[in-house]
Formats: sequence, structure tokens, C-alpha cells
Amino acid sequence: MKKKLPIEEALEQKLQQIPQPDQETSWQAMKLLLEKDKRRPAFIFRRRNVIALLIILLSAALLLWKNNDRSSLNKTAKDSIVKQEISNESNKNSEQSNENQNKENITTTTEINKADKAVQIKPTSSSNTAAANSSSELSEQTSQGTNADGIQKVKKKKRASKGRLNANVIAATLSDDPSSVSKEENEEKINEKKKKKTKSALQSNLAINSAIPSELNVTSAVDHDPVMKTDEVVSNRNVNLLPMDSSSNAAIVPKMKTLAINETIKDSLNLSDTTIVTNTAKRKNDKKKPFIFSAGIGFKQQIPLSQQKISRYGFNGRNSIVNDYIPSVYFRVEKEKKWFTLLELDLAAPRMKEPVVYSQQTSVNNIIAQQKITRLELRKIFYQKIGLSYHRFIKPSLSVGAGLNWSKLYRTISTKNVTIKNLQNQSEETNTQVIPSNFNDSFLFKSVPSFTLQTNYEWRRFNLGLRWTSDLQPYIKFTRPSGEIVERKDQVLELLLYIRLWKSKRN
Amino acid sequence: MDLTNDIIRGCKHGDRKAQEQLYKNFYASMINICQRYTGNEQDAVEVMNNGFLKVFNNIQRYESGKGTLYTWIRTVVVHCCLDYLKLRQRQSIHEEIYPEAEEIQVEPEAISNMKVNQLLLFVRQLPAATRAVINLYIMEGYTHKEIASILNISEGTSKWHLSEARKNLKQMISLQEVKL
Repeated sequence: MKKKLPIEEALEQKLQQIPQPDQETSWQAMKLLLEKDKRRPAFIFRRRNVIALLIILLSAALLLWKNNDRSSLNKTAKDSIVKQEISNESNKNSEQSNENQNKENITTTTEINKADKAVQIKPTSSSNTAAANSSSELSEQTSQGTNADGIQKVKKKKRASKGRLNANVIAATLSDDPSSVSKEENEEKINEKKKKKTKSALQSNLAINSAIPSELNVTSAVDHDPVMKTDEVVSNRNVNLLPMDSSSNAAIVPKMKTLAINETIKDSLNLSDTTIVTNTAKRKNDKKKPFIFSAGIGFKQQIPLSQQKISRYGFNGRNSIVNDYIPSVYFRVEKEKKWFTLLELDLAAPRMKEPVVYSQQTSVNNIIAQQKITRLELRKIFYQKIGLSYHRFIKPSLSVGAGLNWSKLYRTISTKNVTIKNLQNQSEETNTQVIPSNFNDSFLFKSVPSFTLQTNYEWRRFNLGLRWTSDLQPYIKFTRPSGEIVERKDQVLELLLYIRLWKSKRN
Repeated sequence: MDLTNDIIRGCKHGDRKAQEQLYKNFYASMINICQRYTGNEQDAVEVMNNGFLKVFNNIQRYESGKGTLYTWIRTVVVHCCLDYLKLRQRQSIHEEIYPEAEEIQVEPEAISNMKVNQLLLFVRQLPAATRAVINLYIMEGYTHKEIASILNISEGTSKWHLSEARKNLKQMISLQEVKL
């Protein structure tokens, strides 16, 4: 059961009679408050929430963008490898086609000059054409598939072509010149041997370059064969472009067209190559300087300026400065060796202040001839601080930057000096008490935005910095007994040490 | 009762007249509470208005079955006063020191003879936490357990604040008596 003292009951009764302020005036103030509240935007549209939302969205976008950039870089790297292979192949092919063109010119001139030896040449050209046909069929076959079945079919086709070659050889044997037959026989044997080699090369190429278009596979396979470097190559390249004619004369015109087309393809490939090269170069540059994300902790030591005094009391009022060294947490986004942005969160960040007497009460007791002076003096303020700054590297390890801070009042350290003065003998007795408080009285501003200039020197995972901060608005406002309104802004010089604890991997 | 229901209904619809009626009906009792907790008249009006703003914004939550409208509004306003004190609290309330109060004898008549404003000034001179405890204990009738729960302190601390309040008030009143 609660017991109230008689004095308390009397107090309760007496306090019920407190005179009231004017009701109508209060209601007018209430009306204003209601109007203000009505105009207040919805929760989501309030300034702080919008800022918070923007920060979240920006960081999310940054992360997404970074991930996308990484995946696209991987993709483009793969593409560029494939395209480089294609361009290499096309270069080879163009060189080959040039050679073929020269050889063709030579062949046609020999055909014109040696018109009397047409019988000897024709079988050769027909055999070449047959070989070309067979190889074109072969290329068609390979373009259909790259599996083992395809290879077996190719083998069958080759056997058939071999049969046709033999028939041609027989036809040539029936001709007048026996020496030419023997030469042709020898050539056929050499060709057969080399085709076997080509077949094995083809198989290996099929296995390796399954991702590369089949036309190129065959071309590259043919490129390995010195025997097939004449008409066959041209016909191979035109499997999908031109219909083949068995007669060598008919094949000449399309061949020329083919060469022209090949040139255009070559040009286009070369053009695309240059674009690929420039793109890859750009990406390489981007790759060289990727965004690096890092996070860590920071320690700071304030250097007293002008009348600022070092206070050895922590935010809990104890005589310990351990609380002053609660590390801040930072998050950094860096464009390598170019610039970086720093987001820093500092909890219970101390600020030494020049001592400000914000309250003084004097009472005189004439009976005992005693004067009592109570003074409250502000010594230190602790803020919850968030800062965003942008820095540029002026040297590889040296950077300068500027930013904005927003500090929310957390706690203050004041000293309460009670001086009791004996008016008779003028003796004085002073008691000092440290008062930690989490109030934000009317004379102290709840939040203080500030501007910072900072320079940093980086060495490995350590970052040594010097920061100058200037308040953008006063942190204190009070009225002197004379009626003078006093506002004070603050400046802070801090020595910083950042230690990086985490760093994202380079792309 | 019907009038109260009409006022509540009007307030739920944001009717300014109903709000005015409600405000003026409870003004005297609420401003009295606020004046005891706060440091001056202006702050008292400000805190009370904030309390009423909460009342108007949350009147849908009021359930007549659970208590009277007066009790509900008083609870809201007292909590606003406590928020005000928390922000302006000048002394740490985490100290667990319980010195014995000095025994100074003050007669209840001395209080009765005093001016209300003078007494209010004494109460206002008390540290914020102590003021909160004495108001909650003496004026609102809360127990130490409830005070401890409201202010997030221990019961012992609440007792200590009450003892401090008694001691300080007695001291101030006795000094006043001497002066008189």
C-alpha cells in the first residue's frame, strides 16, 4: 500500500490550483498545429524518408549495375575471344583466297597457252573439279553436323569421290599420252595420302572447334591441305553461296564472283574486327579501372583549435576517454586511382568545445549570509554522425576531398559548479560535478549539418587523413542576462586513421 | 454521454468544431498536468498540444469499454510530458545510489500557506528525472514498480528520486519559511 506523507497530500491539493494559461490562445496554437499536420506530407514523402529511400535506391542501383557490368564484361570477353578467332580465320582465308586467285590466273593462262595439250589438262581439271565436288559435298556434310555420324558419312562420301577419281584416272588412261597417265597415277597416290591426313585433321578440327561455324571448320581443315589449296578452297568457301558446276569452265565465272564476295566479306570482317578491337580496348580500359568497394573502420583524434579544451570525460560521465575512440564505420566506392566516395557512420563522435556557461543561478541567504552560485558549463558534445564525401586522387596515394556531414545530438558533458560564498568572511567553497545528459535543451540544436575538407594518404590497407569540419549552422543558441542572443558555430580539426577490413575483388 | 460520443465521432471525421470541444473540455486538467512536468508555461502548452495532436490522430484507437476518455487522454498527455522530460533530463538516472534523505520537518500547513506559483517553481527546480518521479508518484498515483517500467529505470532508482525530491522540496520550503 502506497503511503503519502501529509506534506505530499498538501502538495497535491495545492498543485491542483495552478493558474492556467489562456485557453483561447492555446486553442489557436493547437489549430495552427492541426493545420500544419494536415499539410504534412504522407510518411513516404517526408524529407528524411525520401532521402533514406534515395540512398537505398542508389546503393541498390550501384550494386546491380556493378553486377551487370561484371557479367557483361565476362560475356564480351567470351565474345571477343570467339570474334578474334573468327577474324584470325578470315585473315587466313583472305590470304588463302589471294593465293588461290594467283594460282587460278596461272591455271587459266596455262589453259590458254597450252591449248594443244587440252586433253592432258582436262582430265586433271576434271579430277580437280571432282575433288572439289567431293570436298563441297564434304563441307556440306560437315556443316550439317559435327558428330561422329557426320564423320562416318563424310568417310563414305570420300570413298565415293575416290571412286569417281579412279574413273577419271581410267578415262585419262584411255587418252593418247601414257606418260601423263603414270604421272597422274603418282599424283593420285600422293593426293590419297594427303587426303587421309586431311581427314584426320578434319576430325580433330571438328572436335575442337565445334562452336565455330561449320563452314570455317571445313575451310580451316582444307587450309591444312596443300593439295586442296586451289579450286577446292574457293568452292569450299562457296558452299552456301554458289551452286557448283562440275565443268571447270563453268566454275571459273562463279569463282571470280566468289572472290569478289569473299573480298567484301573480308572487308566487312575487317571492319567488324576494328570495331571489336576498339570495343575490347575500351572494355580493357574499363577493366583496368574498375569500381572497387571497400569497408573498414576509422579512428579519429580531434586537435583543439583556438579555445577548445580537451575534456577527459566520456559520454557516460566517467573519467575515461575510451569512449572517444569508438571507431567509425566507413564504406567506400573507388574508381581505381581516380576518385572515391566515402560514406562514414560515426557513433558517439565526441567534439571538444570551448567552455560555454549556459546557465547561472545566484541565490543569497541573508540570514546565514551566504551566496550560492550555480553554473552549468558545456564541455563536450557527442554526436551521431553520418558523412558523405567525394575525393580525387592528386597523386597515386594522395587524395583530397570535400563532403557533407549530418550530426545528431547524442549526449553532452557539462560541469555543474556550485560555489558557496560566505558573505561575512568572504570564504569560498566550490563543488564541481560532471553531468552527462542525453537532453537536447532548447539552447542546443538537435542536428547540425557541416561541411568538410579532407586529405588522405593511403598506404596499403591504412589511410591517414586530416579533416577540417565547419558547421553550417550554429550548434548552440542562448540568451545572456543582458538580452543578447548568442549563437556559436564550431570548427573541428581531426586526425584520422582508416583501416580497411574488406575490399571487393577486382573484376 | 451522447455529447461525448458525438464529439468522438466528430473528431474521427476530423471535424474542427468537435476537436475544439474536446480540447476545451479537457484543457484545464491537461494543462495542469503539463505545467507540473514542464519548466514553463510555453513548454506546457506546447507539450499539451502535442498530446492533443496525438489524441486527434489516434482517436480511432480509443475504446470506450477499456476506460474513460479522460483516462485515455491523460495517459497520452502524461507520456508526452515524459518524452519532454527525457529530452531535457539533466541528470543521469542510471546511478544506483540511495543516500538517506536528510530529515527536515516541514508542516503541511506551510505548504498550504505558500503561493501556488512558488510551489510550482520549487517543483520545476527539481531535476527532470526527479520531477518525473514525484509527479508520477504523488500526482498520478503510480507505484514505484509502474514508474520504473514507464521510465525504464529500476525501482530503487525511482525510490531514490522520490527521496531526493522530498529532501529538496523540504529544503526549499524550509528556506522559504525562513525568508518569510
